[in-house]
This record gives sequence, structure tokens and C-alpha cells, in this order.
Amino acid sequence: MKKKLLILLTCLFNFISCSFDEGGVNSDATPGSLNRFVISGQYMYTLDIDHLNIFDITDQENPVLRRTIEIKDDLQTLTVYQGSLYIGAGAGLYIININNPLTASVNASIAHWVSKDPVVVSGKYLYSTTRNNWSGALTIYEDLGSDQFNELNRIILEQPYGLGISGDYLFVCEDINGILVYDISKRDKPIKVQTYTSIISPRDVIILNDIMFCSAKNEFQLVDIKDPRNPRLISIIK
Amino acid sequence: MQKILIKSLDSKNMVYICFAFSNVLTSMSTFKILLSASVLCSILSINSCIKDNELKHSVMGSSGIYISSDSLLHFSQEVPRDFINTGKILYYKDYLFMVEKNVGVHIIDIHDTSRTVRISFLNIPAVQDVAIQNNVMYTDNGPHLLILDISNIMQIKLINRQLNVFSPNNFTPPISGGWFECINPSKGWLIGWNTSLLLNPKCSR
Repeated sequence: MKKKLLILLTCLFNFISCSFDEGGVNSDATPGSLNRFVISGQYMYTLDIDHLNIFDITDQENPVLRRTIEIKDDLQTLTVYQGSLYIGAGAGLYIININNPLTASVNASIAHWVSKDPVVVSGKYLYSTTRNNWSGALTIYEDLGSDQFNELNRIILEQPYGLGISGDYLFVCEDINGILVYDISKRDKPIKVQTYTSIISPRDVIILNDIMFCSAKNEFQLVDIKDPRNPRLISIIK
Repeated sequence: MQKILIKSLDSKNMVYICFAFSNVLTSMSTFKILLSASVLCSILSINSCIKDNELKHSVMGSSGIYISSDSLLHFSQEVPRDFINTGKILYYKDYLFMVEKNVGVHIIDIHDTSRTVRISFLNIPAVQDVAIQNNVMYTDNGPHLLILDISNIMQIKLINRQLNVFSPNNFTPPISGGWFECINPSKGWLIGWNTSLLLNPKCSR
């Protein structure tokens, strides 16, 4: 009986911790990968050019700025994943554990070439696109634990923007070519399986239940990705 | 800096020319050499002044685009607009919020996925980002933080504006190695850069 109870409790704990970990569940809104405002639990995180702001939004109508964390860089994008903030910046990526936002500090930083860069996370793998006026890339890092990160792979791209993950597939917006579809069943070795070209200058994606919301410079599309290798246009607004 | 550079270049040339001139006139007395050299140098420096004036009218560079402090203090919900320069998106309860950089936020109804439709536009000067939780939207309005009640999507209400929460923009023009009009916060909130003809600019990168 005791054993059963223990198992039940463990399962319950796992369930709670899992649902707590997903940033999207808490905020009940799902951001794209380029955003600089994110909400997780009772806190809202926003980026100014060289610092992170932490607002307490317990009183929804009266946010209180509780902390700012200075990061001397050109801060661009903000992603929450399983209790950590991932900040994409001009000179690198910064990772901040936010289990205790009021005492948090930068846990790790990964330097990369000077560029702009959104990041998405899947398990212990980070997918980051970087671009500057001349070139771009998709880089994959592995979280080794203890705030150590290892670059696993880098794929040269033209002008990549936002990106999103759905199961074993990664979708990357590329300004000139469309949305690139990668098979990432081997997380460290993305294989390009398709390019969705029916969109001009895509900027970012949000993926929910086999539907990909795609923003472009001056259009918006809903794309069916039930078969990720063959994205299919559902509707479009120009 | 470029102006100073040209001046120093001129004075370097002047030194050389003055030096050559003085070599030719070795037989003359020191006084006469100095006098002649100074006359020549004066002529040259007048010439360099003319060059400076020309320079003032001929420098292409970047000038700041500002939204005045008064114009920033605005919020309105309006009829849908076209997408001009969109990118950032946020999904919330079958609505998609799409930021029109510096201008506002498009609201797209996606209840019927086969017939998505733009239903409204929030006019928010200098906006860059949005976040939403429990029917409350947080968004930046230049340095200000706007708090909006979106429980009725067609009648979004401004419930709070916290002034000067965010740091002033001090980003430099995207093109490196050029002249730009120095950032002047008294003109308002900087949102971008135009290429234009600059008179005697003092900043460069």
C-alpha cells in the first residue's frame, strides 16, 4: 500500500512539475521566438537593450518592477523553457535560471559571432539562428548540465529569422527562401527535408497542434503541418 | 572627425609645400622666408575653409526618426490595417496578435482556421512587443508600459499606463562606418534611422 502511494505521489509530482515547467501553460499565451516580453508564472520578463527587467504581475493591473539584471550586450530575444530564460543577444546567448527570479543571475553565456539570434529549446538541445548583414547560420548546442554548453553543429544559412519545433521537426524562417523544414530525429544532425516556398519573407512561427502560424514581413499564413514534410497552406491574409 | 581629418591633411600638405617653398628660397633671409611661407599658408588655409563649406553640404548619413513625447501618449482601437512591417507574434485563445513595429498591433481571429480574418488594430506608437496573461495585455509604448484589458476583444480598454519604465533607445544606425545625426532625446523617442543629407554632423560610427 505504502509503495503504491509512493508511486502515486511520484507520478503526481512528475505531472505537476511537468505542467509547471512549460512556460506556455502558465501564461496561457504562446509567444513566437522573436519576442522580448515573456510571462512565466507571476513574473513578466522584458528586455531593454542592455538589461533584463523582472516585473511582478501578481496584481495584474499594477506590475511592479522588482529587479533589473544588467547584461552588457545588445539584447534581442527572450525564450522561457523549463525554468530557464534564454536570451539571444548581439554577441552571444545568455541563460538565466528563474526558479527564484528575485535572486537570479546569469548562469551561463555562450559567445557567438556578432548577430541577432532567436533560440528555441527541445530537451537538452538549443537551436539558435544568427544573422548579420552578410551571413547567417543555424547552430545547435547541447546543455551538458552545470551551466555548461557544447556547440554540436552549425549549418550556414542566408538570412534566418524565427524558428519553431514540432516533435522531430524544426522549422526555420529564412528571408529569401521560405520556411526550411529539418528532420531533427537526430537532435544534433538536422537534415533538411523540405522548403516551404509559398511565403515571402517569413519572420516567425508558432506551432500548435499540427498548425503553424507564420508571420511574414507583410502577410500572415496558417499552414497545416500534420505531415511536416509537406506543409500545406490553410489560409492567408495579405 | 572627417572634417578635422581633412583639415589635418591640408595642414600636412601645407607643411610639405611650405617646406619645399622654403628650400627654393634658401638664399633669402629667414624673415622673408617666414613671410612668404605664411602668405602661402594663408592662401592654402582659405582654400581649406572653402573645402569645409563644401563638406557641410555634401555629407550623406543617417538622421533619427523620432516620435514626440506628446504623440507617444496615445492608445486607440481601430479598424484593421494592412501589414507593412510585421514579424513578432503571440497566440492567445484563438486570436493572433501581430506587432506592426512602432505603429501598433494587428488582431487576427483564427477561430475558423480556414477563414482567418483581421478584426482590429491597436494603435500604439513605438510598440515593439506584447505579452498576455489572464485577459490582460502588457505592451511597450516607447518608454511607457501599457496595461490593457482584452476580455472583450472588440472593446479593449487601457487600464493603466506606467510612465518611463523602459530605458531610452540609444541604438546607433544599422550601417556602420558612417555619419549620423547625434541622438537628441529632446526630440522624443527614437524609433529608427533615415538616410539623408546632413549638415555638419558631429557623430559617426
